[in-house]
Amino acid sequence: MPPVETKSKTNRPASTPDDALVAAAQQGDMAAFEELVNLHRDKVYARAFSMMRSEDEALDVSQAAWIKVWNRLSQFHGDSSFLTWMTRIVINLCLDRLKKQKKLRAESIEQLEMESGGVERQMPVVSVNPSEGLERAELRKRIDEMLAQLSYEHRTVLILHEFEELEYKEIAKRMDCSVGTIMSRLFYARRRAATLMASYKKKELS
Amino acid sequence: MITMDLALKMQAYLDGELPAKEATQVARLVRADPEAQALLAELSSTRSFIRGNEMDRPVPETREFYWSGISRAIQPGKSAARSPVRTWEFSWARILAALGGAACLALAVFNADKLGLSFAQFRPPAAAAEEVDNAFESATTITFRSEEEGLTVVWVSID
Repeated sequence: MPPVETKSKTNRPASTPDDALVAAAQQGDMAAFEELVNLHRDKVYARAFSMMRSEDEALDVSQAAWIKVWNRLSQFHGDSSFLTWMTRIVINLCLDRLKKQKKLRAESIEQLEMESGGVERQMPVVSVNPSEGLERAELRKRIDEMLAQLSYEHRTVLILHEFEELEYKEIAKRMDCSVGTIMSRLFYARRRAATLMASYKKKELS
Repeated sequence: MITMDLALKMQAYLDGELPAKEATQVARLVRADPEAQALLAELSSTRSFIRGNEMDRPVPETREFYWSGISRAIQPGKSAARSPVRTWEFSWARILAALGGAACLALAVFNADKLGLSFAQFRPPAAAAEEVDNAFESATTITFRSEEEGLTVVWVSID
């Protein structure tokens, strides 16, 4: 039986290099804030791109997130790491934008089943590990290609669960839908991910 | 054939989202069904290879250009945006300072003579000293005067 996840709280280290920069920025030190931006801009941009799938939108959203962070720095109390807090802000901005663009739709489970035809249950089970033998950079590239092939709803739920490690309830709240819908979307997204990754591996071997 | 309900429960079991009692039931079902075992293995493998493997993607702009877009937006509001981290001590200090100022003013007014202060220039003309002059329709004024103390206080109450 594969290992089952147990939920536990992770303890933050007593102090990190970011802490001094954040403290200085909270006092209005722009140079410290600029340094924070330089340290984390790539990760923040990468998350925005994963969700928006557009370079221009990712740039726009990531910069908007930094501006928002500057204005809300006094609200950061160190309960999580700065990067975690920052990433949540950029995710929320992405979700707002996707909703405005109507790319994210709240759907009932029945509607989802109707549209997919329960196809996720009909996909044959993938028994090989599609990531085996791949260098990390290549694996990440393939995962990115796979994400690009999913719908916004399925991609978003996968990102929020697997990259951001949010619980079902939290994802449902952010995506304005039921936990049941999240579970269905995640199930479909994972099955589709496995099938796509297996097809990439098959192409590579042939 | 695995039902959708069971498949979702297996997924929730994998993600640690099932209550303990239900988790035990699902584990038992999976152990007894090779098809369920295969599906669970696939879900677990997929979760493992995706987690922590978001593609590295550098910002496609120079450091200076990217920062300039941010700094332009935050510079004008710099002094407003960056209010100091307020503590409860800071708030209480402000309240106490205001009360202290008011107390000092009250002391000065009521002890003008002892302190050698003169409010004579503020004394209304003798003829009008006893009159109540309502500046507002709904206002009530009460005048206190003490020749001995050299003090006149006018209390204005607006309803």
